[in-house]
Amino acid sequence: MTSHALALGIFGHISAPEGCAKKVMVWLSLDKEEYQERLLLMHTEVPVGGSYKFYTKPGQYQIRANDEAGCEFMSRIEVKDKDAEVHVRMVKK
Amino acid sequence: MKFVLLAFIFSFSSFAKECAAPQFLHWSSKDGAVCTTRMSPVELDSENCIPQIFPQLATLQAIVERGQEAWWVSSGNAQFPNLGYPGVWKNDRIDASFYSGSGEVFAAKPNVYIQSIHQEKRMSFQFVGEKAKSFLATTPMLSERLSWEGKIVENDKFEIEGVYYDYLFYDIRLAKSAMQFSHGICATRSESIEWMIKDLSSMKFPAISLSDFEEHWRVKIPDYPYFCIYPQYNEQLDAELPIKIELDQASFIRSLYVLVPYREAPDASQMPLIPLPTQNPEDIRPSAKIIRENMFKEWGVAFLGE
Repeated sequence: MTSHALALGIFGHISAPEGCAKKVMVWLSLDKEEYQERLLLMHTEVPVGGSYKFYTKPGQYQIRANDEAGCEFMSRIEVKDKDAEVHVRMVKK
Repeated sequence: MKFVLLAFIFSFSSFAKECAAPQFLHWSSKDGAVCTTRMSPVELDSENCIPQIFPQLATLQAIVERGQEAWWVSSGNAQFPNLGYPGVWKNDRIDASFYSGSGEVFAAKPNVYIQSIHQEKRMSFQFVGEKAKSFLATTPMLSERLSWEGKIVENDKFEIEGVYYDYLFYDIRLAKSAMQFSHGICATRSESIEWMIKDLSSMKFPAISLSDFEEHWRVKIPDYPYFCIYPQYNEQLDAELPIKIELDQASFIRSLYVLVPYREAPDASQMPLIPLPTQNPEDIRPSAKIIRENMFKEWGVAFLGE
């Protein structure tokens, strides 16, 4: 018997163009403009093509991603009453 | 003469393994584990200030001074003020109000590694048990049955949905009541990291897992001068968070270090909320002597939340 009563979350997969690295650091933070308020909640390193999930309380968040080659991603997301999907599409800067 | 020598060795051995109250175990790379009632204060650099509620630039400076070069440190610090912490931090603990689920112990980054004789072998790693799970993060995503289904590939990697992973990762909240707080050691920050790596080495964790551990935790353990470490091994973790591995000839060694930070040298006379450790953690450490075809090994570091 396994419990499936898990919290809400933000989930997705990682994609990246050529020239980006093969692994990406995905960051979950509060959705704040001010640096001092943009508190980091969790982060995870994910291989390109792979998936991640953050389990969260309802609220406003940012998903950011960086890699060693300088590729980036940022998205704002609100978690309300169901899981939110954020596909991390890395962009070369 | 032989009797005196044996008696001395025996008494020293007993002394180092169990401390009589109010003493506790202090570990240093120079002296190993010794009983003490108060650790000696360490000298701190003037820049190495103890953080208040949230870490600021002093943390970055401390990381730089320690020579940490993980590629994600500079980008993480540029984006967030609290990279040098395991999460949102307040009053020497994780601020639980920012996180979902329940459980006073925030297990950050348990990473699961594999050492196998197989180039390719199907496997399933499932979180089981009736108790509700308070996951905080996983990579890759779990299936509906709270499992990772895939293959072991190239002897030391996982393939899940066609993607290779060096390790499987999760963050989770656990019940404090399920943890042990008698066996452990107290040490300075740098010696705490050294002790944990030695502990993992003694359980024959693979080299890449030790390297990952050091890279991550030299950055993410807050910049306090002292810690007491309470290792949780299979006995505690299998009861609180049971795992079912579907694969023949498999073993699983688990180690989760619960860290309690101290701003001042731990002192038994101060009656801390978490009792200072008096028992040698080696007494409860799982044995890694038996070699199996497929050996799963998991490390993690945990902090208390409020």
